[in-house]
Amino acid sequence: MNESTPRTDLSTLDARRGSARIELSDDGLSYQCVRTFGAPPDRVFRAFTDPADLRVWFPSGAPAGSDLTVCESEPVAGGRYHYEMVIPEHGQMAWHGVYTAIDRPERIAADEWFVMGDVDPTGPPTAQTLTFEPFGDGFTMMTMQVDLPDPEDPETFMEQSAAGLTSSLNTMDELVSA
Amino acid sequence: MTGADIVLEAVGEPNRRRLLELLHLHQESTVSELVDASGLNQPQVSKHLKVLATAMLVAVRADGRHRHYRLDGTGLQVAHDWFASFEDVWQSRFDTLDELVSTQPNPIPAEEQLP
Repeated sequence: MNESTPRTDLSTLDARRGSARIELSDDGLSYQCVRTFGAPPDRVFRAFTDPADLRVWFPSGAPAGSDLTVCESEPVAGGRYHYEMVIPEHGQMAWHGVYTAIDRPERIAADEWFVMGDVDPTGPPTAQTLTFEPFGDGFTMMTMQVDLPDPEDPETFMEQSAAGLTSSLNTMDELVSA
Repeated sequence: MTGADIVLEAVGEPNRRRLLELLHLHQESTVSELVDASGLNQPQVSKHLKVLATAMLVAVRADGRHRHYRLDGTGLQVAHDWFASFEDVWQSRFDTLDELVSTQPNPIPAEEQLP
C-alpha cells in the first residue's frame, strides 16, 4: 500500500523493528521492549489506547478461537482500561488497568492487574510505561517498560515467573540448543 | 498445576535461579559446594534443590555418601518454550499494530480527541 512512498532507510533498525525481544533487568524485576512502527507517535499512541484499534491488534498471537469479549479504554489520567479474552482450553483472562499518566503523544503510564479466571484483581499491580519518540521520516520508536511488583506476592506470580525466567535465558538458550 | 506451572514457580525465586546459574557454571556440585558458592545456608540450599528437582530443572547423581547435582534440560526446555510463547504473542501483536498504523492514518486529528 505504501510501496510508492519513499521511506527513511531503516536498515540499522531492521532487526529491532522485526523483533519483540524482551530484555530483562539484572534483578529480574522489570523488563523492556523496544520496537519501531511505521507511523508517527500520535497514530501509535492512538493504537494503544483506542478500543477500535485495540480490537484489531491485541488478540493477535492468541490461540485460534480466542475471543476478545471486553475491550474498554479511557485514556485520561485516572481513567481505566479493561480487556478480557476467552481462550480455548485456558478460559478467561483479564487485564485491568488504571492510566496513571497520559502525555499524548509521548507517554502512557498505567498500573495493570492481570488475572486468570473470573476473579477480581487483587494485590500490587505491574507498572507499565510506554514512550513514543518520533523516529526517521514519520516513524515511531516505542519503548515498553514493565516494572513488576514485590516478588513475594503470589497473586502476581505468573508475571514474576515470566521475568524470572529470563535472567537465566542465555543459559537456557545455550542448554536447549545444545 | 501443570508441568509449566511447576517449572515457572521453581524459577520464579531469585535464589533458585542463582543455584541454576552456579550449576551451569560448575557442571556438577554437592550441596556443600553450593552453600559455599551461594552464601545461602545448607537447609535453604537443600530446600531449593528439592523444588528444582521436582521441576526437573536439576538431576541428582549419588556417589557413595555424596549427592552431586547438575542441570536437567527437561525443565529448562519447558521454561524456554513457555517464555518463547510469551515473546511470540508480543511479536504478533506488534506486527499487527504496525500493519494497522502503517496502512490507516489517523482518521481523527489529535486535537479533536483531547478533552
